Amino acid sequence: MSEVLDAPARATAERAAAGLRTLVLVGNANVGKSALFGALTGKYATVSNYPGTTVEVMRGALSARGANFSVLDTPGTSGLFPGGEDEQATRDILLGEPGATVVQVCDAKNLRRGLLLALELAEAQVPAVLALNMADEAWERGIAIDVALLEQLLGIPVVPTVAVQRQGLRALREALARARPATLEARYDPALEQALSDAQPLLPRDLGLAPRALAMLALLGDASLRSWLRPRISEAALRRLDDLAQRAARDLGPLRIRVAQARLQVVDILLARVLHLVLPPGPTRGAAWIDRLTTHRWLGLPLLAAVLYACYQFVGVFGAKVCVDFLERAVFAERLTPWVAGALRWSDFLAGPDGLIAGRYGLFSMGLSYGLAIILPIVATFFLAFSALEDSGYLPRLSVMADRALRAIGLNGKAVLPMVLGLGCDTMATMTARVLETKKERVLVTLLLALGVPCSAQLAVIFAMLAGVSAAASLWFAGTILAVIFVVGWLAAKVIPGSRSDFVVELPPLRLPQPANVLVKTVARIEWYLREALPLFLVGTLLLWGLDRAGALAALERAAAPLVVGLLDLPREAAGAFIAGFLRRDYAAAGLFAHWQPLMRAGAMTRGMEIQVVVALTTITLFIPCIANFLVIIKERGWRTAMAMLAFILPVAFGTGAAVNALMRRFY
Amino acid sequence: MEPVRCPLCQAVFDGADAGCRPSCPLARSCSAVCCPRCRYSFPRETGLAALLRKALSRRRAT
Repeated sequence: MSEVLDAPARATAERAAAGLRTLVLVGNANVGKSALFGALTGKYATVSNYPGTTVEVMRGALSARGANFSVLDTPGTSGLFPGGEDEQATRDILLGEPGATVVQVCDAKNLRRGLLLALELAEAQVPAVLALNMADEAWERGIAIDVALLEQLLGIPVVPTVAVQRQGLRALREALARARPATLEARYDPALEQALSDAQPLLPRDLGLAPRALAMLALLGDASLRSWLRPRISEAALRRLDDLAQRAARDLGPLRIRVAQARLQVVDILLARVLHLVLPPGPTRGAAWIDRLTTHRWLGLPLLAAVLYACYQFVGVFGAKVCVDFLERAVFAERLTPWVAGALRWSDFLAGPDGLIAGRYGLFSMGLSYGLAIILPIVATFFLAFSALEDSGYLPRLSVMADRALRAIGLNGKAVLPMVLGLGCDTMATMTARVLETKKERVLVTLLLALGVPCSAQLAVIFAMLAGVSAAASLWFAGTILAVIFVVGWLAAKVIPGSRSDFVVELPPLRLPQPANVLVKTVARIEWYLREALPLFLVGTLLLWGLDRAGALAALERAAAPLVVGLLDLPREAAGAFIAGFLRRDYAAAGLFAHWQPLMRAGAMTRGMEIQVVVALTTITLFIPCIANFLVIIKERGWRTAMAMLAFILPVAFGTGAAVNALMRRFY
Repeated sequence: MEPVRCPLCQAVFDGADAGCRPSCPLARSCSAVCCPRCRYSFPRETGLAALLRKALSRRRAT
């Protein structure tokens, strides 16, 4: 065992010989050690079990002011006396790394807990720097820490940091050169001090913790320390230590409590001097007024309309017209597709009119063209707008507005969140319905999500399509979807007994979106979209290609003609979009967009075509959920409920489409 | 491993354990995380987004 435990010390000696110093990150649990480790060392880290344990420890590298450090991230701990395997691993790392520099990471919001550990590290005489992490959250909560005074009283460098935002890292790296053992010390009652004095000469000096800290652990009865001491001190010294520990336990009573009380006393005196509670910086009068406006019962509605209109202009006009025009026509239609078709012209199977790659339903000419030339610019602009809304703190306010609207039809307040979340991803929102209390509520919300709440990608294509028709046609569409949700919700709420529950949501401060945040969030969403949607676009295209080659697509279009052409007055090809819509609803919407886009671009949309666009969009929005959402409905609600929903949604979608068609032809 | 902040409810949580799996059938290829408090789902900042975040943070830190 001792060989295992000494292995880190040997490794440290080898690293020291190579000019590499050891830096150990220590702190209570959940203070952001791993975030700070990542921020200090970058991406590359090795993970291995600490010798003799199953506890994983991360190791990375850091250069600061000419010194090279091997950085160790340790499990969270509350003190040097180990309360479990994780805490013992941290203590053992400190023991096995003599001469290591320690960065104690402390949650600035919970300074008391952090200073208790700092006091133990002071007792252990390890050269240390204190990082006051999550300093931004402490400030937001009105906690102000006198850093200069804390530094003076502790006797070690103290640096405020926000690891997740990489703030304070430079100051922390520079402070490493000034790391030293803290001068602050807890003094215990005379009998305990005497016992510590008696024990210290018996203890080794070649470990990472000073004899006073080792003496304290020995007196507190830390059995795990024995394996470190046995190879270093004599049996007689070990027996003497046991005697001292037994005597201390007998004469001084519950020792751990007395020690903790003495340390707390020191920490509280320290806190009284360095900790100040201040009022957080409040919003300006203008900001406070806008904040109230966003959730106001009536005035919030025009603001919501303005936000939606801005999204519609940005996504529908800039994304769907300018960007799609460029990518689809200049890049795909004029260059890439002819080039691919030319490169594959030796194979009719690949590049012929019905070719697998460049044909009518080709993986490149249709699948990639839909995914990259039509949908990508639309969702990219939508994600940019959505990320800006998200970063501004407006989304939670939107749920407050939705809560009022849904309560008006008698829907449970808790149902609001899944409905709003559905605008991101219906599949995830369906899982969120678990938070609802009764089975009926869960079924209702799942149904409304599957029926009428478009996901973000589909919403983006809807914006794009609506930008090509008149404002009145757009209102027909929006009014129809809202009416369906409200009518179905109202009817369902009538048959659901029970009281309404309260909806509680924490409203973060409203702020101007930060461009860097918005950009990163948008890129993350685009990456996510490309990874998840593009393969399904290709699968959908392959399905359509296969059906077309087998002659089944024409047969399906003929079979669906009474419904698609007869009932909805749509072109026959729209049947293909409905089939693909089961894979992803935005793919179906993209098919419809590709059909009407040349006419929209040419300004050749007639009244009849605008009606077709509204009818097609209404039907596809209310249409059966995508395959991922459907599988989750089966998983969450069971086969029978899922099939019953399907049986309900299909006639509602086509019936509403038909009703809109009839009404618009009469009144539009 | 990397703490993330929920854009909806502002909760900070460990992104490594908050994938939407195992419930979602597309979880294997999906990089979305779900907030353990409000269940809001949003994509994890990996790949290009992570590199971009790092580059922007470094620029801000210097």
